[in-house]
Amino acid sequence: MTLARLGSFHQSRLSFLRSLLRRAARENWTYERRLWQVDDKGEGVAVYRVGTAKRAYSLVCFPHDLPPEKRSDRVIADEWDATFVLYDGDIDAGGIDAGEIDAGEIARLQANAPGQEAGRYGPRDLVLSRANRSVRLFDYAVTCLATGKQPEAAQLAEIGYLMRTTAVYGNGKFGLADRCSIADRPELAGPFQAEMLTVWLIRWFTIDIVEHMARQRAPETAVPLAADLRRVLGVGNATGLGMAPFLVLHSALIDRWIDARETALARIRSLPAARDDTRDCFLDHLGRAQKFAADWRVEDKVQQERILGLREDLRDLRETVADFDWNQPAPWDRLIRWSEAHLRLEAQEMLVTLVLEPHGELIDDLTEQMGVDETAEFKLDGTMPMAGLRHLIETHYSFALGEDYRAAASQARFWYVSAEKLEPRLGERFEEAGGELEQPLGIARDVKALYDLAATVPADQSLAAFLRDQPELRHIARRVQITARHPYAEIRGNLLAADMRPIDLLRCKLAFFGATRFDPKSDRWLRITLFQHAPFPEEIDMASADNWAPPPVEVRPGEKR
Amino acid sequence: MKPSLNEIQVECKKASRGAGLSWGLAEEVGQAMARLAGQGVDALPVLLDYLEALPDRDMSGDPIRAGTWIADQANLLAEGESLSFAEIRQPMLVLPFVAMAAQSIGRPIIVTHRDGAWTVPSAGMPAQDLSGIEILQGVTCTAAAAKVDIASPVSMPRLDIDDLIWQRLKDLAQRTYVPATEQSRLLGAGAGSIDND
Repeated sequence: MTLARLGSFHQSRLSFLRSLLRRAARENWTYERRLWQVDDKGEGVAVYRVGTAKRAYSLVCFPHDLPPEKRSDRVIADEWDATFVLYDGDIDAGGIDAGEIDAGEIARLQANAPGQEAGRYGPRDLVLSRANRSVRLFDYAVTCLATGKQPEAAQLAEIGYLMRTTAVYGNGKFGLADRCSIADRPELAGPFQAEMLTVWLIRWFTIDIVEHMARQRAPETAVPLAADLRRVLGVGNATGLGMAPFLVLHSALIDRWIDARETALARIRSLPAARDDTRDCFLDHLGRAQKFAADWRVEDKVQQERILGLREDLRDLRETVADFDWNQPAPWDRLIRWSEAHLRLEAQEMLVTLVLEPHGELIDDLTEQMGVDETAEFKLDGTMPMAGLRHLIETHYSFALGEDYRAAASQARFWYVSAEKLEPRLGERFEEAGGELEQPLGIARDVKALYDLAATVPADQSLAAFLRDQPELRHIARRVQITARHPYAEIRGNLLAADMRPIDLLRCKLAFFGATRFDPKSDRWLRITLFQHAPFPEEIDMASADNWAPPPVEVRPGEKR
Repeated sequence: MKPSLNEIQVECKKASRGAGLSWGLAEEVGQAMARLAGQGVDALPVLLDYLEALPDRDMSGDPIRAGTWIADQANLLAEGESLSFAEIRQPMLVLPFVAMAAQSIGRPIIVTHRDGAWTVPSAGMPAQDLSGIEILQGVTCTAAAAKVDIASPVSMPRLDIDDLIWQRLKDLAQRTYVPATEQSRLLGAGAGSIDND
């Protein structure tokens, strides 16, 4: 649970968008574009409907004609190329118009969604999102399609998406439905399933809008995008610091995610033998991973260096498995052990993904256990004696106790919320104002403070009595108790340190979402791709639902892998 | 204004912090207010009165201190002990903490005071409206002997919060934000390279 390890995670079959697609295929969800009223400038409204086992959901889309100078991925933007709301159920009128789309509800959303955070939403609005075009690829694709040509696959693959979302909001924000009001539905019970469904449907919309614009430009010659080329396109996403505090503040939830991963790995490592079909699937996916790593290029120097290392390590892995004795006891365990001694973190984590891949029947059930009732976890046991609390800290926070937090480098940063956009930010404590307003994310430092002060009171004093006098340590005392119950709840690092890289936090969460092609743009924001190569709603089935991350490698005659 | 439970929780947390409570207490106040709101109880005006008076008040009879004292020691109540207070002001604010304690031990908690008694069930909230009560004196909490089964609460429609109350909470929450500067706009979110391609 170090930041370096978390910052090396890759998507796996436990990732949230993978479990969404498996459920969609298994339950034979239905899909329909119910409304497309978009004009020649690309402005209007569209509605996509998905029917799940028991319910319907509607993605309401508002494409806009955005002047180029207004286009920004930053949270300070106030206009976007398209805005979206995932609506609970069919957006249908009642009474004599039953079965027709409810114009009043569309008008309500149209008055709010384009303003995003400035709008208000209600209990039937589940998710709010917006996206900007990748201008280069979008215009290129429109130009090609308008003239009756297909765009080059390599050009599409290089960027990987026509539009990228810059925020996907859920759980009650701006009046949206509370998560607790929908969490008992099987299709939304897992983490971020409503958000993932939204992005999957947005991907469908991005194809429709690019084809629409091509038709508007040249109705006589325009052609639709070829099916195999569509698969190359996912949805991009630009993510910044807003996501980082989530991982820290929802420690019991993160524990469930990591626990699922570790449990999956433990089940596989304890297998006495490897079946031929799982071994072949693993080898196939190793080839796919090598292709993926070969295609993964970024401008960020640190990450590009790591990608080069990953390519090299995957070659090593390939050579090792070529000579590997698959008949030895617990071969998967042996392979993991070997990787820990020979591979860098990027490749160690890629191996975890690869080892999980062929074992769906053994581990996919774990995705049902990746949620938690955080309210119940919130309860503090004040009857614990202080000696017991100190013991918990010694057991679970040894990483925090050795550091001197008076040293400038140990608390160089502070996390705060900006008055301008109400978004989390990272400040330099000794260079910027506002340090006294820091958010409670200095976990390691605060645990040390709790530990030191706890030593000054009687060992049998109760925590409740201690906190009555020291209420400023209450958040951290509660956290220590949560960590003691949840072994993977805590990130073992100092989030205030001068050399801390926030994108490591972001990558961990994004990998659990199922993101690929991490592309850091600084140490605090990055671009990623979601659903690249995944099946589209109209084509998903049991065979395609899980066979795309990464996609099969086409070996052309005479070409060596 | 019909906020979601999440908005109530977050805004009350920030307002509590902005008014001067510790982060740990502020988090619990946020949860407590959302818990009440989920039962259809609007305690926000009482909370606001409490928070706005916070800088000037002494801690005797403090309902948040009393509430966390009870919730933290629910195990003692389960073992048959009682927790007593000379007085509790704005007792409405104690209610969600007592409810949390009742839920965690799976038994109702009986709150007796000089003028009467009420029972906080282990699921849901007591029917009493305490919003008009300024102070309770001679308060003692004990766990009821047996589990009382109470139907789990139905989901309530959203509360309609008075716009002025909500704005005053936001004003308190505002105190937790750091004003933007040119430097922080540039560095704080780490933009810098062009994000429009």
